[in-house]
This record gives sequence, C-alpha cells and structure tokens, in this order.
Amino acid sequence: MFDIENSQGWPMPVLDDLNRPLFEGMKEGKVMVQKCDDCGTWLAPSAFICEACGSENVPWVEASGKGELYTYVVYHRAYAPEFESMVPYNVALIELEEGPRVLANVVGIANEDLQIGMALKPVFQEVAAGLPLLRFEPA
Amino acid sequence: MAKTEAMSAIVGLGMSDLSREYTHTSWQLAVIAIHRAIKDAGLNKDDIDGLLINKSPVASLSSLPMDLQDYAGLKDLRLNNVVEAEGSSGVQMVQQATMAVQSGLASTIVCVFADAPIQPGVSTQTAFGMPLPLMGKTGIEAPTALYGPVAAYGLGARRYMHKYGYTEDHLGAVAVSQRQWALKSPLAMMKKPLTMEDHHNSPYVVEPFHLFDCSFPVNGAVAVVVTAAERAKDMPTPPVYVHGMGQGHRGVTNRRGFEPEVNVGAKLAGERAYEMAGVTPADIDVAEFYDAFSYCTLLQLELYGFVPEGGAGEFVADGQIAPGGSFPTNTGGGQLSGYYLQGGTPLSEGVMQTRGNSGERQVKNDLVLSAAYGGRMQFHACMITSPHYTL
Ligand SMILES: [Zn+2]
Repeated sequence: MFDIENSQGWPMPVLDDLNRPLFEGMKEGKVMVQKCDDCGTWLAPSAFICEACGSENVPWVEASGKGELYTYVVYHRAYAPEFESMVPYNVALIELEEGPRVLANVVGIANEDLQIGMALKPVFQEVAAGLPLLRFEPA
Repeated sequence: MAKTEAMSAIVGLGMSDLSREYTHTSWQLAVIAIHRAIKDAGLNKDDIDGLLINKSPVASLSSLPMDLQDYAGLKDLRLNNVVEAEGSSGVQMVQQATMAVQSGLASTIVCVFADAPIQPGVSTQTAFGMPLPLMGKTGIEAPTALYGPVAAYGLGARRYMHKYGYTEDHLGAVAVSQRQWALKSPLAMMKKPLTMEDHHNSPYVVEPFHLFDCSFPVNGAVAVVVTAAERAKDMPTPPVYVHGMGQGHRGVTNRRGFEPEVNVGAKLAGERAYEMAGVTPADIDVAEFYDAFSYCTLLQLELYGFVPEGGAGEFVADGQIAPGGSFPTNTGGGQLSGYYLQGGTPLSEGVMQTRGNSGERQVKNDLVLSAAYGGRMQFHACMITSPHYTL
C-alpha cells in the first residue's frame, strides 16, 4: 500500500506509471490531474482510461490549483504511530475548479472552522524528505 | 399486486458463538456455523451439494479458502465458490444460491460468512485500521494519513449531512434506536441502555463519528441453507421465502456533477427487488441493513424508498425505527449494538424476523428487506423475504 522501506517516518506512496506524475508534480509545486484528449473531461487521478468516453488518451495536465472543500473528516485518534503528533488532523476531498476531486489535508485553519464549500488554494509541505505533499489552505 | 411465487427458500440458519475474544480461526467458526445450519434445517451434511463462502475483504484468502469444503467434511459438491463482493456478499450469496437452485446447478446450498478480526495481540482498531484503497486510489490515501474505513465513510457522512442539514443528533438517534432493539435481542453484544447524551459524550473516532456511531466487530460466523421454495414447507423450520433480489453498483466518480457519497447503489438494488417481488417500499414491514456506521441507516432508509430523500433524519429522530415506531429497522440492534459480522448481520436478523420467532423483538414480518453493501457503500445487494410462498 505504501513504501515501508523508504518511509522515513511517513507512509511514502508506491510510485507506478499510473500515479507517478501526481507526485512528480508535487516536487515542482504543480497540482496535476488528467484530461481526456478526446472528450475533454477532466479526470481525478489516477485514471487509466476516461470514465466518461472510454478513451485511453488521458494525459496529465496542470490544474490551476483553485478549489473548494467538498467534504472532510477529522481524526481524533492515530491509526499509525507516525500520525500521533498530528491528532486531531483532517483529511478532505477538494473539488478543483476544473472539476476533479482530490484527496488532501487542509492546513492553516482550525478543524472547527472548516466549512464545506470554502475556497482553498494549494500548498506543498515537505512531510518527509523527497515528499513535498500537496495540501490545501484557505484561499 | 401481481401474484408472485417464491424463488427459493432459506431453510437453515446456523451461527457460531459471537465473541470479542479470539477463540477460533475463521474457518473453524465457519465449520461450526455450517453444521449448525445443516442441523437447523433437519438435514445431514451429505444432503448439501453446494457451498458459497464469504470472507471479510480485509482478511486473507487463506483464512477462508475453498478447502473449507474439506474442513467441513462436505463431499460431492456441484457448486463451490468464494463470493467476493465485499460487504454485499452476505446477501449476494443467497442471490447466487437462488439462481443455482433455479437453474438446477445445485439443490441444497450452504452460504457462510465468517471472520475473526480479533486475534491474539490484534484489536479491532488494528484489524480494520490499515490504509485501504477505499478511494480507489492506491498510493494516494496513505500519505494523507487516510487510514481505516471509518474515515472513508466519514467523508461520505459529512457530505450527506451537509446536503440535508443533518446533525450529530440525527446520527445519535440511529444509535439510540438500535440500542433499544439490542436490549431485546439475546444475540446482541451491547446490553446497556444508550442515551443521546451518552452518544454525544462518547469520544470522536473520526469526526463526524462518535464511538457509538461505529459498528461493534466480533469474531463469528453465520451460515444459511438455501433450497428450492417448493421443499421448504416440508422442512422443520418456518420457511423464509425469497421473493425478490437486486444489486446496485453505481461506480464512484470523483468529479463535479457526481455525488457518489450520497447517490449510492441502494436505490438501483431496491428498485429491482421490488419489481421482482411485485411490491413497493410501502409494503415492506421491516428492514435489516448493513449499518457499519450510523449514517448508513439514514441513507439506506431513503434510497430503499421508505422515506423521501432528505427525510430520514427527522424520521429517525422521531423514534420511527425504534421499538414501537412505524418502521422497525435493524431489529437485532444492527451492527452498532448487535454484532458486526458484515453481510452476515442483516442476513441473520432478516432470516430470524421472517421466521417470526424472534421473541421480544419480533415485529410484523409479511415482507422483510435485508440489504448489505461493501466498499465505501459502493456495492449493494438486497433481498425481500416472506413467510408466504405466494405474494
Ligand atoms: Zn473522454
């Protein structure tokens, strides 16, 4: 599920051909999603085909990064020791202005102040060496 | 109402003891339940010619393998299969058994769910707390610290609550109602009354879920025997006739214009089952849902058509699913207060209610809906059962 060998105290993603551009984009400060070249549908990562039209032509493209909070949860206990210092922490689905929803933490705001629909912008935070993780903060 | 005749019948029910302590492996629990179900049906193991197996999606394949046949001493089977449709499998097994009976593939089929999440040194939190590809995005969840199904469901619950203006009072009302049922059920694990205050004062696990919004996992097994409807009247137990069944798997589309957290496949599953049975939701007397988290009951009440969409919160807050309410739901206490055995929970309670011998918790039972789902409420299966051969 994640790369334990190289975890550095954080669950590192196992990179494969399907998700590598997402995490490579983070290193460059980019929010990467996919867009169907045939029907124009913006797709949430990681897509192998376009779920709208079935096309295999789904290149990665940079999104603006603007988005809004679609839904979120707040953890009040840690399911792994590396997260203990973060509790309580949130995990959210953010709807990008292009349409796709991405999973990320929202930072720079108290959990009690999170509101579905609030405007967010991306921020990249180095949670482990080599992993500047895409997160969001109030716009 | 068009007359419909039963498609199959459930003629045996067997359960292992349910426990929060590790006592047996999954396959051992399964063998115990299988033999209890066969005995309950007044049959011998050599009468069984089909086996359908359901393991927990987070358990290893080897925990409940095809060899279960040999562990249970079953010979000369004409059907043997692991049904892997996650939490919906408990009901899907009965659907597949029904189709096998109708086609003649096999005549007398045992369907079994077993799980032993609690192991020496492994708590339920550890057993279900791993990063899961519940968002369908392996490798993406873990770095965001999205661990455990509770959070994937929490994301759904928060969106659903936002849509209809539901609060933690509405979630709490589900937990309180089901506890009232649990107090009437000898099988239920939770034995103390629960108030709304107790619910709100219980710690958050993953907000919006308090502890009492979450199901109560146990080690245990449920088995049923399915055979041709025509045979049931000659069997020793009150017949449980299957009149309708359906599935719904809408797919999770994570982009604008779709709301997969709210528009789950329960509606598709219910529509087909009602059509098959020639009934409407208003005809159903009692519902048994897979209710891993409190909000799942609200959502299923709506999508199976028992209340309008957006109407479940008030309905439940008004006590309508509790004992004495207009629509008894999760009458064994459900998975919150009864026992969490995945699809085995609605399956077992649905059978017991349809039999009509459920003691203090027995309700009017001419038509019983039993429904199960898997994934993050992605995969739905339901069935309509009745003590009547003809509807
Ligand atoms: Zn397309």
